[in-house]
Amino acid sequence: MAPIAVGDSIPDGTLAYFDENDQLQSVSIHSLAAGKKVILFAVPGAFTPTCSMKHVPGFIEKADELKSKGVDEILCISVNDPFVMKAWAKTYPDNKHVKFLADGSASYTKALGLELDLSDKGLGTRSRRFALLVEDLKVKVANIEAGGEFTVSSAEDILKAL
Amino acid sequence: MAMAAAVTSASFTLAKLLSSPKIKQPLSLLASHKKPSSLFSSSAAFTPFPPVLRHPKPLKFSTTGTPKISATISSGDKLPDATLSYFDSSDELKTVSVSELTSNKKSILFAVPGAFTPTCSQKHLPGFVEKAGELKAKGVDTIACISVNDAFVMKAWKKDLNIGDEVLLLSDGNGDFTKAIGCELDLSDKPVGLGVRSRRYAMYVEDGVVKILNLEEGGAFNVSSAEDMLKAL
Repeated sequence: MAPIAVGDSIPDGTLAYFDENDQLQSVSIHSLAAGKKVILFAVPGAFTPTCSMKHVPGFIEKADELKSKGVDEILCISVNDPFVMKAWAKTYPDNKHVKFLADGSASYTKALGLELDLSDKGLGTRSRRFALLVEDLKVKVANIEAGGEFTVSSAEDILKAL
Repeated sequence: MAMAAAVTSASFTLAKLLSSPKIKQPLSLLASHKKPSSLFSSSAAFTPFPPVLRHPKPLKFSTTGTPKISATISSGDKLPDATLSYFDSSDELKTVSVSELTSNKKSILFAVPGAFTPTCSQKHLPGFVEKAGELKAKGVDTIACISVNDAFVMKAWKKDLNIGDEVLLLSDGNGDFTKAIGCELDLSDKPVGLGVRSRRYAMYVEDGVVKILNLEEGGAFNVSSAEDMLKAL
């Protein structure tokens, strides 16, 4: 798949998460994003340094500001299973708005054309780091890193674009 | 809130997920075992068969095409070599080979389908941490837990369960070791998206050779606990 770009419609896909009652749920991206303004950002790996210490905290911190600018959902995706995503989300007790979604088999990541092969690091197929601003399923802003670096995909960068 | 989460998550165990008939069963021509492993019925009297592989337990294969037969490790086999990884106490990413782990040593290697999953977190791993002292008193040098998760996740899991040096938590990130011993468990088609993981097992290895193998079907937790291993030693 060619990487998703500004002007494209995001594909639908199913991601998994554990809800507040610890029940495993699956959700379609379209059901979360249709008719809304959403931020979809992805990290190469739960519990990895840049993801954990910079990328995610940035969105948690800026969540209120982003919401005040009309963002309805802030979705964090990673190619990790939902058990791992749940455990990782728990390490952010102050998080109010960011939803942690598991793309365990990387199928949604591949549908976006944003997969990253990290097999030689023992991580298998993961996602490139990115942040998308999507309005009613149309990509308005696509800040996609080449791999896992952290140069254009922060919360601040998306804020500037809003 | 964490307590509530632990309690309610017990109602969703990996074992429930894994009671699927699509599990690849190991088939071995060689009946090289003194103690019956959990795979083989203890009353099986093996007579050598020509190329047709005989499976002692009724197996359910998926109806789509011929089942793939993989050679699964058995008692008496020498472990294949492979590289596992982990973060050391100074947070450096390190690798260790299976042969380093097991040559000239008495080791226990046990595997879980997934870090942070209920049975693995609440029973299997804690069991080995608890019994580590007793196992070491019986001469075991190394106890290692292997999972097809990356080393970052294994490190976080270790921290979450407050585990020290009693049990090593090792990442088989690409599943290479798991595949080399024929113990993979395909959970890709589960809604949960776990990909290919390891079946649950516990093995006692002496100088690289498997002496005791307690292998579960999938993620069930019947024969692979620390207590079972202690009894066998």
